[in-house]
Amino acid sequence: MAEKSFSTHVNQIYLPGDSVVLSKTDENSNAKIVLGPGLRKYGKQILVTKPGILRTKSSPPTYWIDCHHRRYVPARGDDVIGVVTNKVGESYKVYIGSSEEASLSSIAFPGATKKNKPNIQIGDLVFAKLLIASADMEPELVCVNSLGENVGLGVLSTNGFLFTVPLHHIRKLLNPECTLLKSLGKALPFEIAVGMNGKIWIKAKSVKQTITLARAISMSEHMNKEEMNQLCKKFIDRQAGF
Amino acid sequence: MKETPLSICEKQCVIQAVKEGQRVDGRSLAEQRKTCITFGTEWGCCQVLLGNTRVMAQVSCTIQVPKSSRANEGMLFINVEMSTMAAEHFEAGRLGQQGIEVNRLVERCIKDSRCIDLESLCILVEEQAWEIRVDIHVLNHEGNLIDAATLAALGALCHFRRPDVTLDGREVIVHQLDERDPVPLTILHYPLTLSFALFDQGKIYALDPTNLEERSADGKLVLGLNAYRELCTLQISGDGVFIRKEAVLSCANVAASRAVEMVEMLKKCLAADAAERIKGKYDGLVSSVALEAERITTQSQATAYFKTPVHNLEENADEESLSVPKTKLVKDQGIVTLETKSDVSSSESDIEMEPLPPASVVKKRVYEEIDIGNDSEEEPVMLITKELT
Amino acid sequence: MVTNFACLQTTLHNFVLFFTITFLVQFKTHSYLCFIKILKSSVTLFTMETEQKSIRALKCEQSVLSRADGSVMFSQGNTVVMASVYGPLEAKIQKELSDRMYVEVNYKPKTGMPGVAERGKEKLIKTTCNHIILTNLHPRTAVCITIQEMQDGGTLLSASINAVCLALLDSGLPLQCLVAAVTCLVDKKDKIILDPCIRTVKEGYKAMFTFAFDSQKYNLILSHCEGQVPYQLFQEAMELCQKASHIIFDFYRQAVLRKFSKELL
Repeated sequence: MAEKSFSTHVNQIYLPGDSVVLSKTDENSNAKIVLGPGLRKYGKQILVTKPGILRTKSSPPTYWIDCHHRRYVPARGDDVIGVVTNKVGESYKVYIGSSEEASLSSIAFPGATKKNKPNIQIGDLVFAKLLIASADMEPELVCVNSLGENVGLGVLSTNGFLFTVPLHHIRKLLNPECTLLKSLGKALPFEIAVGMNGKIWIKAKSVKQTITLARAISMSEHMNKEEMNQLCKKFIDRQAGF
Repeated sequence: MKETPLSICEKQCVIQAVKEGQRVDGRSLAEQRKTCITFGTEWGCCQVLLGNTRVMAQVSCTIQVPKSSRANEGMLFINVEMSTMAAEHFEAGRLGQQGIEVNRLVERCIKDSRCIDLESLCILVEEQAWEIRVDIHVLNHEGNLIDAATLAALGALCHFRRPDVTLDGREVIVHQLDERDPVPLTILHYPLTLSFALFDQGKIYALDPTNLEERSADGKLVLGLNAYRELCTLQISGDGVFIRKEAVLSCANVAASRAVEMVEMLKKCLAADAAERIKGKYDGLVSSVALEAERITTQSQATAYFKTPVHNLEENADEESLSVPKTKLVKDQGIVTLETKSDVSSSESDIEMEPLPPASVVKKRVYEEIDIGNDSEEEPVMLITKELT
Repeated sequence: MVTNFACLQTTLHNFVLFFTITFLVQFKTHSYLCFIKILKSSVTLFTMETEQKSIRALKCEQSVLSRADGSVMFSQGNTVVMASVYGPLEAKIQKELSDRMYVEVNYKPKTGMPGVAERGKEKLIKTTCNHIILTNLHPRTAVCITIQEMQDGGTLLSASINAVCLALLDSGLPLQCLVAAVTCLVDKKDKIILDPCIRTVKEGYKAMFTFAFDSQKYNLILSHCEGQVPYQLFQEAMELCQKASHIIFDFYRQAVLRKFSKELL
């Protein structure tokens, strides 16, 4: 097993079981080093647990493995889209694609009180933030920030369309460098909610446009930046032809 | 595990789209997903891909004592297997409601239509006969399991060869496969099923529904037909769905022409497989394992991935005709007559039919462009709904 | 010396301990590192069906199934196996483990119902998976692994283990290390044949071994043996398989590289 050092092997493929060695500068400095998803400390070694590409960012030096996923594992602070499946007492059960259904209190909505509750039906979609996400506990969702203010979360309209894409594709779409959604928006105005759990809710003027956009987005999974630009160009040309 | 819950939003969008004559995966209402058929090295192994739905069937045979009520006949046993591989709510070893429905419909289509000559499977009356067993494995559930399962079962039965037997007095000698050329089954006709999802109280119907469409639909119409346009099975399921007589006939028309095409395709695939086998060095399903490099390196391939399944198989030759089923459908509709009464609907469709786009145009659209939206070219297929509403 | 290993009754742990002691002493790491170098250049050339000292052609397609979290169609020579991984899923109450993930393995034969032989394979694969998955990272959940036999080309057990490993890689579940399984058999002339094809298997053999090794130190994770041979031959067979496992690890790396080819800068 060839041991690779961080500095020279960032953006390289790693497989579970490979070990990585810190670069000289990181090793000698006293600054804390953050190991993100896919890396774990085992004795003095740093071992890889997921197959993927090693990525890094500075201050504080952070390293993680960029991996492909399809199944969502809740993480605190993620914005997710869920389907309301049941109402238990004062809270709703929400399916977010994880191993356990999340709970969403009926007073965790902007302006909601014990008497004034939001109108939510079973089967509705909610866009919410994960407040509690731990391996040992039931995940909990909220639709407000810590001050109880409206931050754009809540129930999604039933006029849009919901589709699921792999999680790595979501990460790619939400990357500030990815211009796909913006350039698609130039051709066709649309509303979109992107959940970190792989679910995308989209709504355009007509059903036809909604479907077209949804297909374009899910199609871009295996594309790099250049190909995405090409796709957008084709898409815009097509819209112009209407 | 429970099935992924269906949101109101998805359901409404599917219904609204269908009402407007389009579908969420970009197909038109009477368009099937791309079908791929591959065979394994063993006799009687057939894998079918219907879009992303994937089903594999394997035929095997044993010598058994025939039933006393049918002493001069062999037996045919059909078994559908669903495991967690296909979807998370399936459980290995337990079929569930959906599994039983698939199993029963495949049985009705293949066994009850008597497409296999069971008498030819008898070796010694009342003593020994072949029992043919078809194991159907559902590998990926993306809707319309019934059609995929029947096609796989039929493909496997056509592909299957049983060991030859000779009689020495009353002693049965079974010849091993390498000893004597194995014998194919006698197939009298080729029955297939075609399913339609019914929307809007049976006014609108979509051929080859995906999982999302199946779950959003009011009901389902399953038609079993053979290449002679003869109806073998018909089932309408769903809660209180009403469907008009004309609609059934019109569905049957569409299904009949598709059944003819699909049987043709199956025969072509079988012939291609036989040709490959003669060449030697045959590796069966290995050739259907595609490398990722082929799939994701260029955009054209990514396009192909979404427009057509990943596997470009031996039947490349008929791919062209298959990728544009809607044009075929329109062309055929004029001549289809399942029953004399249905003349009304078919003549109606003639009037509304638009001329076919030239072949070159169609071909270009499929191969060079990413076909995202539905264009006016697809209008002619909407006529099925138009004539009813 | 004659050994007859019945793996079903023995726990995995004992095996790892026993074999690490026996074999790490005898192996010198550098000797097989040279071997990889030679093999690397000719990975694609292993197509000969009856080649004695090499593995047959490996081929895989990842994410073949649209619904599964991780899936693979894997072929090794003429053997084709499909494996799917779902997880972490909600565990059934009776299967839930408070400190780790429950691993469920289903092996599906091509014809008929799963019987004792299939249950045996499930058990072997399950112990292997329990060893390589970091199950304590997802407590109270379950992972469901299904293997579908698609084409029998002689080495179903080792192909299944390799397919499961690829499917786990595809699913992105946290793994401790990878595993590669190799089958070999001792024919009637006491010759060891690596990765035998179906014809060789059907011709009859004295013993058949399947070994699985981990990717870190190439330690033995699993050994499954049938038949009777002198201990010397068993050892020789294992050494051969251990060397051959490098080809499979190399193949895994290539497969992952292919999958990420779009995202490498």
